[in-house]
Amino acid sequence: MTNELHLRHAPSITAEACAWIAQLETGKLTPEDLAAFREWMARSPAHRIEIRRLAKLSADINVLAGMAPVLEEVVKKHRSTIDKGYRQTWPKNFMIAVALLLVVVISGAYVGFFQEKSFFLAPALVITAVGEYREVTLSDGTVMALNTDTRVEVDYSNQRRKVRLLKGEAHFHVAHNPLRPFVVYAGEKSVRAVGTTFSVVNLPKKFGVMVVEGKVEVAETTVIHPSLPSAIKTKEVSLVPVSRPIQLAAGESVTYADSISKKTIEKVPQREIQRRLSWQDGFLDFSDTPLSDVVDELSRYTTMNIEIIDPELNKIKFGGIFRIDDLPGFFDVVQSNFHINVSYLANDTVQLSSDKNNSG
Amino acid sequence: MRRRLEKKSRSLIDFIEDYCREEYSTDEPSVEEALDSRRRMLVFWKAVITLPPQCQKVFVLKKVYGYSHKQIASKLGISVSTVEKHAAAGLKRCSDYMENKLEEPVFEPSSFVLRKK
Repeated sequence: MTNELHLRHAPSITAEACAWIAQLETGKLTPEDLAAFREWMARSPAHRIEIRRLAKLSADINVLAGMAPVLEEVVKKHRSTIDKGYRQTWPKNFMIAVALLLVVVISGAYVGFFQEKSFFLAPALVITAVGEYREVTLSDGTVMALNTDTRVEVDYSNQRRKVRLLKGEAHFHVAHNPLRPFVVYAGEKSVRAVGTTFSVVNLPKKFGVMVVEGKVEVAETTVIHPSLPSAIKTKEVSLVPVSRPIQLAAGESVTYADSISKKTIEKVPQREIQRRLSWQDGFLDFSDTPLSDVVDELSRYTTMNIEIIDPELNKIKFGGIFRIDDLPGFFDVVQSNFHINVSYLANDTVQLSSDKNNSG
Repeated sequence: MRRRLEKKSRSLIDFIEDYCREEYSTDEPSVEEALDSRRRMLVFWKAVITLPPQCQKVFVLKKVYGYSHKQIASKLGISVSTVEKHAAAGLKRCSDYMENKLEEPVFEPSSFVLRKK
């Protein structure tokens, strides 16, 4: 392997491999092209190593694609600061893209590119697409892991560290700094951390905080709008605690039911903590979970629509660990072990129904 | 769009794997696999700002917007083979930064109109 690694730096191989990838990405290769590709691949192991490396790199860069819509949103906020002179000759979308890249850099700044400087200022949005997982190290060393379909705004100043979990699920490993309090706002709650590891879930049907290490305070807040119109700047809107904060210690969680006032504080055993954090390793870990809950959970990770056709299936309980990125694998297991019929419909829908012929 | 792109790039990798299967069916994780998304983003950004303008356009339309080569060609009024040429150059540039073969581009905050707080 080491010998091969030396070989791969031949510059012409890299350039040729890039050209092949570009051609393959266009698609529609003629038989002659394919023959030429086969011949190129056959030249040496270095050729094959290089093209695989670049194909992976190209795929990795595609991860950026999910950023476009969010960045456009960020750019809107910055529009007034973007020089209009640039715009005329470029396709409109493309101008946005370029501006976006600048914003990417600004967000990148949070993630350490300009760690020591504080001239990047607008809050940075960090998002994940459906099914995506992302881990981000913030400028203070705090590590933030974002689960699927999550949107977080990071708003740091020299005095305080403010993070808004707009939706989704995030896990924070907070760098201790009592002089710059770390507070997560989510929905109508604020979560103040003291050198701590904790998770926050902010989903339509589910809101909760779980503490793994250290302690946090959870307070219900209300939004105070500035009264003078001239003072209205969304950033200045303050959230004011309206309840006595709840103290949560390591191994405790609080979950809020539909209504804000209904909350459950519970001790979470170590095993259960691991289970609830398994998304960080790319797995879903179910234990005695009803199919309806399993489907709710899976639906967070896919744009597919999963439907349970026969209500009696809801009661079936599942246990086991599944790879988040392998839904078809999960459906295979469901089909073969639980006698559930899995049908894939054309409109990105999967239906689960009782397998009547085989239910015995 | 991202799913589509991932699917596309996945199938490209599979396609290439098919051609090398006999000798490299198992392999160690590559350097890139260990890279976090921040570094990927920075590498991409460095590559983009140092590319010539037309090439830059092609690369951004491709990687940020997920347009196909054909769509880019018609959008910019150039041929598909020119798009391929630019796409290859963009990828090559990313690869160069990835392997630290090039100097870091100079970043001038003023040119990006950052607002100070």
